[in-house]
Amino acid sequence: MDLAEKLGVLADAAKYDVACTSSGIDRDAQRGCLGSTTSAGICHSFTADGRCITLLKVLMTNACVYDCAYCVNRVSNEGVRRVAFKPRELADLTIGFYRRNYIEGLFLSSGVVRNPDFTTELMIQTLEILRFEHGFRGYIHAKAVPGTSPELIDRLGHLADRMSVNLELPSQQSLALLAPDKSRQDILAPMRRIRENIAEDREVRAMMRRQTAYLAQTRPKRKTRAYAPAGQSTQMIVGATPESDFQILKLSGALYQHMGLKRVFFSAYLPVNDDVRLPSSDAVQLDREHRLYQADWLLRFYDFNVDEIIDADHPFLDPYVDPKANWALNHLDLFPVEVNTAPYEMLLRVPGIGVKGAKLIMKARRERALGEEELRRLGVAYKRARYFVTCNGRYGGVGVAFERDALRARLMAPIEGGRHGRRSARTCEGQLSLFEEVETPEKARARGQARRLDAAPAALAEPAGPATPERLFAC
Amino acid sequence: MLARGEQAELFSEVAYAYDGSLEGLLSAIFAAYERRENPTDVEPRFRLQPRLDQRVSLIDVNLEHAERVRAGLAGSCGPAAYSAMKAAALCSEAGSGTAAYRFVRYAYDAAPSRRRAFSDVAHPDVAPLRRIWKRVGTERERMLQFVRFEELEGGLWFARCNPQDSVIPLVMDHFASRFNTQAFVIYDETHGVAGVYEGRDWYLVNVADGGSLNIPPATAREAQMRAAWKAFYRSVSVEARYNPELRRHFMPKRLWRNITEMQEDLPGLSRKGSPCA
Repeated sequence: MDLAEKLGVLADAAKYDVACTSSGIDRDAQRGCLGSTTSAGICHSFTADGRCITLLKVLMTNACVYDCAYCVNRVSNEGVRRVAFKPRELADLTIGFYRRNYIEGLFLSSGVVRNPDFTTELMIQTLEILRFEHGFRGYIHAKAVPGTSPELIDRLGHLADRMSVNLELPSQQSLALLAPDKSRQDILAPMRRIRENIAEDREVRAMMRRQTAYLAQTRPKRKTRAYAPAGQSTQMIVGATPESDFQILKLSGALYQHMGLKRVFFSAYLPVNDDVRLPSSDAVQLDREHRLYQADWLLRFYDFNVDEIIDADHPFLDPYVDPKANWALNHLDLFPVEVNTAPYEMLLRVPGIGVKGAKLIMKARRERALGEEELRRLGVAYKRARYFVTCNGRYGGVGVAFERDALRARLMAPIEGGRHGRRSARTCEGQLSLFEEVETPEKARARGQARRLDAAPAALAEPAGPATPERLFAC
Repeated sequence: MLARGEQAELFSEVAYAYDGSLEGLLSAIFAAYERRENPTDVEPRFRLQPRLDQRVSLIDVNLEHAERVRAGLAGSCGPAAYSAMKAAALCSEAGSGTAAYRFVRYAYDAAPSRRRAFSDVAHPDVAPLRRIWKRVGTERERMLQFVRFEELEGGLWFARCNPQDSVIPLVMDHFASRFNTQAFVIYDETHGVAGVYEGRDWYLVNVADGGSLNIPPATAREAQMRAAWKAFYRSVSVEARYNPELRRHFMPKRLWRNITEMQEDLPGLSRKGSPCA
């Protein structure tokens, strides 16, 4: 089996992981060493679904002893062909891609072979080759497998820039139903461990930098790597289980607050397996995922609280209006605000003005009074903002009644999702589905009957055979 | 041919044509002050379209003048303003030189404070220059994203790109530090400029005649890596989310012919004379 083919299989198995960011850390290049990172991250390519490729996102192996209902790689999917990378092979491939400017670094995840510790050790081996033999200074995102022993988590964290543990599903019950081999405790324990390690490492480094002694500072002999300097993230599947947006956002709000996470990713559930425990509908809730991300942005960049975005009485986000506009519509007594005097925090809450727009307004109004003309020149979405602002005392939304329903009709905007793909979430609520189960290309692949338009059909039809760790890692 | 004084009487407006370089643009700005003229257009020679009733004045590069303008601008308007001037000189949009000139006029003659002139983001003389600055910045970012290197025989790494603005000088620092272990060349086929890094420092080469480019063949491993990368690219896409509009938004089609993973999708545009073809 050649490299390209193996890579195809293992990338295909990893693609349902949504996190693909190379952000959060600035590391300059060093003479004689390959690589650097920038805190904004660089996207190196975009797939046909418009998602960015910034890291080489692969699994160490797609052999797995767990049986999670929603996953392509679950042990009961016998049709799936099982392959594995050898640590050196994967490290060399990463370097090869990096030097061609294809990628920003490596995103390493894995199916569980034998047990979590064995799997993590393989990952550590790969990262050690990259960091110590190749002197690689690019970005590495490592996934912590639930159930790994704390010592291994510590070692892994010192090699990676970002760590993540997948929460998988938003509640304990759903987890017990769909991922019986994982428990909430297994997932939260490494997450806590990583948080503590990051905090401890940061404190130690700060202390080392401080000049505290009369005598000359003694530096440690060997420079140690920082522990996951770009923080940790997590992801959960949305739509496979009946949790509401309220529960999901409450949970992610708590994760940001108490676990110190950098990002919480949402992944619309995509039917890849036939299983009675899973929803029978073929709908991919992409629009719901989109609204959840909008709410997530409000939490992270707009100083919103979860309680302001959503409450238990309306547990789902409005599909027709984005959460920020929805908040504004519910608080019309605070509007309109005067752009020339409103504080930054209030500008951020105006629909049509984003973080960049608000900062530009703050900058521009120091020099001159802003009118409609100036606002448009700054790149603010004036057609939305006009109902909520006055410019020099002039209200731009004349002609539309200043009350909830009239403004809501103006602010309703369908989610731009392209003209292709299965955005079947758009079907109305309560609409009957004609088919109980739907055949999808993903399901076909999970059964081993891949019909890819671009791949040679014979190559993938080869029987898979039992995957034993011995066969996979016969080095 | 009329003498300069007579010409000035015949036409009421003047346009400055510089050579297209940053030094040329700065020299033109110097000339406007020196001659006490107010040109309506300041454009590179190859892009200038003279208007009716407009006299064209060719501006020669004068390094001494350019340096005086540079020092004055960077000192009194700040580094951001000077970086925007650089962007205006690299930008291939019509009117970029004029935008830079108009900003200098505003900053020196009308603004309440030179230091803060560039922060007056909503002013009609500042906003166009800021827009050009942003456009060139975006194009630079695209090159950081989509430049693809090939490994050639002899240990040289070669990349070909076609940015709309001549941003090679802006990306060389990034690549020269990130890939400081490999000698490489980035060749901009639209503007005939190549950035060369040989292991210590980088410099620019004018390759006006693309035919004279003599590229050694690619290594054997190169084809294997390309195949692996294409296989990876194909398999990470999720069919149910297929959204080509979004992809085109982030990765414009005009750049596809030099992006390794997109090349097979455009049979008509497959590159001739490529080391890997």
